[in-house]
Amino acid sequence: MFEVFKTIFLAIPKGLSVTFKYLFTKAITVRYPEQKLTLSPRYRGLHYLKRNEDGSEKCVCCGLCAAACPSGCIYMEPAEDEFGQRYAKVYEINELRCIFCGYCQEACPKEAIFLGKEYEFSNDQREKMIYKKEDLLVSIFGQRMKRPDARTGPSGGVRPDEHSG
Amino acid sequence: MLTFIIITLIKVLVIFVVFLLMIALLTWLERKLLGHFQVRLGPMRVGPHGLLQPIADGIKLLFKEDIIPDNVNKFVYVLAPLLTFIPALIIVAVIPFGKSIELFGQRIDMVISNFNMGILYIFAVASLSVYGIVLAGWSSNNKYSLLGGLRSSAQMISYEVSLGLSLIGVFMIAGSLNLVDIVNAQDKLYNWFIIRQPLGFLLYLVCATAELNRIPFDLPEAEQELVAGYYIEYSSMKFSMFFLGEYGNMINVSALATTLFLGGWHGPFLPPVVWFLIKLTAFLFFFIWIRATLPRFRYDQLMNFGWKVLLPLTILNVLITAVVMIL
Amino acid sequence: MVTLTIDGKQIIVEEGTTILKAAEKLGIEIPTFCYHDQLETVGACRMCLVEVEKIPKLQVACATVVSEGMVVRTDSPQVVNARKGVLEFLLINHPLDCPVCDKGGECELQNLVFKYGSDKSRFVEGKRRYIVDPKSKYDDLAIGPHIIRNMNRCIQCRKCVRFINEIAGEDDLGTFKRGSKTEINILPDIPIDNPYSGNVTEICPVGALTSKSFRYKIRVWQTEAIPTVCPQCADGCNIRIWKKDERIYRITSRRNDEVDEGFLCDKGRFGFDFVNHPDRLKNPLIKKNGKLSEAPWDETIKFVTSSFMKIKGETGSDSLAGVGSGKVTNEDNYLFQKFFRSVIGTNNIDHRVDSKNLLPSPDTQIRNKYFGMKNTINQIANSKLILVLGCDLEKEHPIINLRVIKARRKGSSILVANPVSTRLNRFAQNGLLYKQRTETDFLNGVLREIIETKQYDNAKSGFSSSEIEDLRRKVSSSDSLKALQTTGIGAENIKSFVNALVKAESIIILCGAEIISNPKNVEIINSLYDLIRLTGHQDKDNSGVNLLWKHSNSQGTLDCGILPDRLPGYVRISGKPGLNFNLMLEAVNQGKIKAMYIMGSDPLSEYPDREYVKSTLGKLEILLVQDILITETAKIANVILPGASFAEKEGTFTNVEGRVQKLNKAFDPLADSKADGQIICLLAQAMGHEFEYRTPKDIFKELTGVSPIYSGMDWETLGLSKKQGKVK
Repeated sequence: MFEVFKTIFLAIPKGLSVTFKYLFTKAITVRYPEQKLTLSPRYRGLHYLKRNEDGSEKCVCCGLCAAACPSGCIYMEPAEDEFGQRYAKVYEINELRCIFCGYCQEACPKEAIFLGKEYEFSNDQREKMIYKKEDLLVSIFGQRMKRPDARTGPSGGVRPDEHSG
Repeated sequence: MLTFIIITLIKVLVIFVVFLLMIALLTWLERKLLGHFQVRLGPMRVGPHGLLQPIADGIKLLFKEDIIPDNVNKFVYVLAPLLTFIPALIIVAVIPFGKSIELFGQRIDMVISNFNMGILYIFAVASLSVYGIVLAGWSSNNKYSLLGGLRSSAQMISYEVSLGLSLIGVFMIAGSLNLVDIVNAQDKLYNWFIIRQPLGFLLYLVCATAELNRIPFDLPEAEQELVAGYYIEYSSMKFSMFFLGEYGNMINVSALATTLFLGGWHGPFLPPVVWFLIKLTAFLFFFIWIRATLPRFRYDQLMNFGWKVLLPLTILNVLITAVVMIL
Repeated sequence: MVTLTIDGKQIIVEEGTTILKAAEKLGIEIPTFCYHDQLETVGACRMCLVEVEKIPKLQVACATVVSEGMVVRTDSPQVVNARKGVLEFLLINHPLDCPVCDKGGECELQNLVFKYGSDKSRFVEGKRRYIVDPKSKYDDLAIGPHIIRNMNRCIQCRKCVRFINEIAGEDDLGTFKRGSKTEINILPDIPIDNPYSGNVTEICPVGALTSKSFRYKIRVWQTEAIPTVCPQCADGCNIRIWKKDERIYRITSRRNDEVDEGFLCDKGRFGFDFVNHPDRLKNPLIKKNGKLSEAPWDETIKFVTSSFMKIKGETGSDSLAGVGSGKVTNEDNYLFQKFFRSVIGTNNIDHRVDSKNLLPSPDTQIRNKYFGMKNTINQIANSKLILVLGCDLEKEHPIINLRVIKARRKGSSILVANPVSTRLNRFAQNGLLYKQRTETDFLNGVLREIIETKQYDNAKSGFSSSEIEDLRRKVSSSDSLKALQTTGIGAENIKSFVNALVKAESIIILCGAEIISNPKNVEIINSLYDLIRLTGHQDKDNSGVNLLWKHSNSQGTLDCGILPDRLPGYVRISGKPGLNFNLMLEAVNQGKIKAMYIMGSDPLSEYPDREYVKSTLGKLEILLVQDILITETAKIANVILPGASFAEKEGTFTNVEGRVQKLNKAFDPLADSKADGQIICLLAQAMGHEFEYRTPKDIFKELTGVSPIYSGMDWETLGLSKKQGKVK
């Protein structure tokens, strides 16, 4: 009986006062499409493949990213170009499967693949979430060549390593 | 006689619309307040500060597929939502929300039906809504529904006893079961029954929360255990009927508390109706506040509390009131 | 015997053992680069340095011979440091282009640096480059049809050069320049082009020599290695198929010292394109209105069985005939003969479609002369004299050829007698060229020379004097004297030939396809046996006459009774024997045979008289061909059933020396094709017989029960190299 009264007369008012205090604190909600969070410098978003200064692809299709990938979302087929150099004939990332852990970036010996800052690339077709090499490659200035057709978000031409927030 | 009928019809229409609007607003208010209690914003997108959110919700619910599962008892299944919603509606009939006014030479009571057994009528009708829940739970032919319905009926029966007893003190002092009379008995601030019946008021609040199946007494629909309780199989408008009924009951209980303990429409400066609405809103706010604060009871705690704490206390309250009155 | 201690563990080894071998016996790993147990030890890489007590400097384990009371440490700080140092030196000029290197993932240098090396480099200067094309950044150079060289990666262990020189006996790869500029190269404009060149890619511890066909195809860790047996020739080398999904990416050796000693020929290593070839048969085909068109399996099976039943009912079961093949497994062959003998009810089965001149069928009891190899492949290297007769060994049996070269290296004499010069003649002490089809005359000449000059060993040969007289009379007749002139071999050549023969301590005679399909094959083989007896070698271990079959499972096909007159295990048929392939063709021409079922064989390409076969087979009512590709024979067939390649089925091959080896399935049969055994089961079941075999294991079990020469073999342990079944 005593416990019950203690609860009613002490604990409940105390709890109510706490919640009441929070009623007047400023909401921390970020109103997403209009406002955006400032991304951490280590944020891991959509992948991109870098180029060398002469415009050639950095990726040599060594397969280490695919080997490091815990979700097995990277598929590649190497081939030989006209100079006898190894390059990725097919390079695909299934962004639906990807867990954005960044192991591929860590494994890459050629510093070719990076996880950028883009996160607005949802789509209503599964096939479109398999990113081909052309979708992933960026120009030597870091500009994405072909923009994923995200429903929302800024239009093309943003560098994938720029903060979008 | 004709004028009376016309006046009554107008009153019914106005109150019906206002009541439904209040329910809509209440859902918005609840979401908004809960948001802010939780340092969020709540609905923001539909209308200014999400004010039109209830309309969007309503439209959405109307256009949802109306599913009647194969194995339900169809008649009862359809009946159950009505049984919860309609009592909530007709309780409003006896709640006075303002002083009588003179208009075009007619005296108009700010209550649809001012009859002497008002409070008894409320108890009678409010008890009906438990059938809606029990029948919904049973007819759905679903384990979770059935358990939800069972819990609900057990809880409502247990707390209805205390609810009734907690108000006896008020009737003893007011000497009437007519709600207008009770309001009139609280014309001064020191006459408000919250001051004369503090224990009764507290007990009423607790029992009312339990009657509403709201946190911390929301065991019938405990999401974590019963998924959604008795209305798990319902969709579309049938589903929203339960909600309309629930929120309607919330308004009813608050209105009743206002009438019985906070002096009804009495108050200085502002028109009586406004005072009534302010007090009503305060109660609604309080219920939402409670929801944002307290966790859910365990089932055995609920039953123990109802029978071993609340019931003795209400009887004690009646005794004390009687003793004080005799002295 | 010498006792020594390695890392505190004592071991007794034979005198002359190296520290490396002794450590291997103890299970202590000593890293090496340049060491290969089939090659001469050079001690070039210094990776195997170990500490030996009382010797101030570290010693190379691969070349230091153990001595009594030696105390060796392989894990002392000094050794660890030395390894680190050696690896750091090796990495000075190694480009570390592992991402593009095909060896990445199975590279010895990579592995050892991971295990023993330092994690950082102190080297800041530029790396050595062997510039192939000044305009290009990439220093890859194709040095042969199969090999690509990248000298930047080379660590100068010279295993490749040593392999080519010692094992393959070739000289088309060499070391040029000196010191850090040492270069492995071919002679200018002479690409490395020998049938063993592919081995250098496997032997190379780094990615300096890589194979062209595997170049930039896939990373090794993405593939799965399936142990199986090479289907190319009868040697039966053990291989690994490296596959991913439904595709073979490469084939490497699965070392089996009894058979291949860890080497493969280029045909076996690179010749797997047919498995994933786009022309593979994918669906059953039925000829309708003169055109082959695809048909579902059930319809085809129904069509085949109803036609077979019809012919059997009309003209008897002997109007059907079956042709098996040395290219399919024992299980498939066993089922094939069972299908014909029990379901159809005829003995008209054969597999010898490549010759008009058939050897007599062997018997279980006698296992006589006309039967495969008398010796094991390993014994070839131990023989003191090897006579290769009528065989281009390098082309027909590349791995047996390596043993001959090995024997030559050990000091044995090689005699080669062929109608045309072969590459083996380089090693021959006596390389004779006789005119085609004069083998008997040549051998008679040899025998006469031995008898006339009394160089034969009368006691050991076991010939009675009358027998010798008979033989003498036979080989000294005026006819044969005249005939010797026609062989084109001079008398002095025969003399030196005979000299070598009679002096040898052991003689192994290897006969190839030329002899087996010779019109006088029986006579030649008898002469060879006489030769062995005359020189007194008939009961010796490392001596004997060996017939080398052509196909990967020719031996097994014989064993499984794809013969008109023998059941599995050479059990003689009680009733009338069936027809062999030559007689079958005659019977077709006479209208006695109306339907033929050819599994895996291609008589049109293999039979000496193509037009005759073509016109004859065209007369058949039903010609059912079961193969993996559209062969010449399949083109004229009425019904074609798609079979499975060696990578797509389980089963056993019996190699030329009678070793039963297991094939493992790498992936499912392509598209709608089925394993050959499964197709036979489907046909038999459609004809109302119970062929309830779930796996080839069931068939093999039945085979071991039926065939006395296969009895006691265990399917489970068949694939393990130590326990391979050997035909009794």
